[in-house]
Amino acid sequence: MRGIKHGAVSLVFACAGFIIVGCAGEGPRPVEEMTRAHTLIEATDKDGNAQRYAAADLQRAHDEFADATRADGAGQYTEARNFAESASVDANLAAARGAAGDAKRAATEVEQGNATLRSESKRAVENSINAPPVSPN
Amino acid sequence: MNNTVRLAIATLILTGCATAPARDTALEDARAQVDTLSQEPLAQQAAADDLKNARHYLQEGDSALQQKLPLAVVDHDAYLAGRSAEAGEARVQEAQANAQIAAGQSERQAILLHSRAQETDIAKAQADSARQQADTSRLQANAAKEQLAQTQQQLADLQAKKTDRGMVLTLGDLLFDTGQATLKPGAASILDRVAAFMNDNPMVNVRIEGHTDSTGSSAFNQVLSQNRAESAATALQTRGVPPGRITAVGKGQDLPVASNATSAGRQQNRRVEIVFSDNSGQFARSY
Repeated sequence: MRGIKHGAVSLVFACAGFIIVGCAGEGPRPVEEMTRAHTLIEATDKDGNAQRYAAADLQRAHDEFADATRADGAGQYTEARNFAESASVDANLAAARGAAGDAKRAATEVEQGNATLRSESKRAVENSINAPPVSPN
Repeated sequence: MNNTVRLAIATLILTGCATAPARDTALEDARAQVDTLSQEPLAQQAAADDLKNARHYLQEGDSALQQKLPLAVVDHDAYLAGRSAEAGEARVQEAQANAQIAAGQSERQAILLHSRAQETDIAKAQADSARQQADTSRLQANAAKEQLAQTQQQLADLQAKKTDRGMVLTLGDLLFDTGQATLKPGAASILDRVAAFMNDNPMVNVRIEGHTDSTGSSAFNQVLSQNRAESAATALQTRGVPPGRITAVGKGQDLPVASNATSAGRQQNRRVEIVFSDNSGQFARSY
C-alpha cells in the first residue's frame, strides 16, 4: 500500500510537470532552434550597425540565448526552445534596426551634402555676377 | 491509487489545460502590428521574410488559443510575431532611406549640372559684355580722335597758333577802338567764328588775356588790358558761350611779344589773346 501511495505521489508530480509545461511534454531537444539562434547572434555581433543602433535588442538576444543554453543543459527542452526562438527574433530585429539606422544616416548625409552644394553653387554664381568684368584682349 | 489522488490529478489536468482565455491581448497587439506592416507599400519587397514569419507565429498563437493551451504559450507566439513585425518595419524604413539616397544622388547630379550650366552662361555673358565694352571703347576712342582732328582743323581755320600755352588766337589792336576797351564792328566776324567753334566743341574752355604796350603807367595798362579781355569775354557770352567756360584776365604791359621801341612793335604788343584749352577743358599750364 505504501509503495502504491509513493507511486501515486510520483505520478501527481509527473503530471504536474506535464501540466506546467502546457500538457505537451518536453519534446525533443531544440538543436535546430539553438543552432539558428547561435548563427544569427554570431552574425549580428559582427555587424557594427547593430551594435550602434540596436545594442539593447542585441543584448536581449544574448541574454535569451544564455537562458536557452542553461535550460537546454537542465533538460528543460521546451523552455530552451522558447528562449532560442526569442533569441533568434531579437537578433534578427537588431540586424534590421541596425540596417535602418545606417541607411537613415547615409540619407541624411546625402541631403546635407546637397544643401551645401546648393548654397555653394548659389554663392559661386553671385560671386561670378559681382566679379569685375574680364578685360578684353 | 486512491480516489482523492485520482481526483486531484484530473482536476489539475483539466484546470491546467484550461487556463488559456478565448482571446489574448498580446496576440491581438501583435496582430495589429502585423496588419500595419502589411499595409506598407514597401513591405512586400523589403519585409517579405519578416512578414511571413510574423504571420506564421500569429497562426501558431491562434492555434494555441484554439487548443486552449496556457497563456504563456500564446504570449510567447505573440512575442515572436511582434518582434518579427518590428523587424519588418525596420526593413521598410531601410528601404525608404535607400530610396531617399538614390533620389538624393540624382539630385546631386542635377545640382552640379545646373551649376555648371549657370557658370557657362555667366562666363558667356561676361565675354559678351567684355566684347561689347571693347567695341564701345573702340568706338569712343575713334570718336574722340575724330573730334580732336576736327577741333584742330577748326582752330587752324581760325588762324590760332600753337604755343607752349596751347592754341592761341590773337585779336589785334585794330579790332579795338584806340586806347579803349570797346570792340570795333569789324571784330564781329572773328568773334562769331570763335563762338561757333566753342559751340562745336563744348568741352573746350578759353582764357582771354589782355596785353598792352609800355606806353602810360603800368596801373593804367593793367586796367586797360583787363577791360579789353572782359570786352572780348562779354562778346563771346553775348554769342551764347556760357560764362563758366570763359576766364578774362589782364596782363598789363608785362608780356610784350615785340619791342616797345618801335611803333610796329608797340602795336603788336597791344593785343588780346584767346588761349584754348584741350578737349577736356584743361589748359597747358597756368602762369
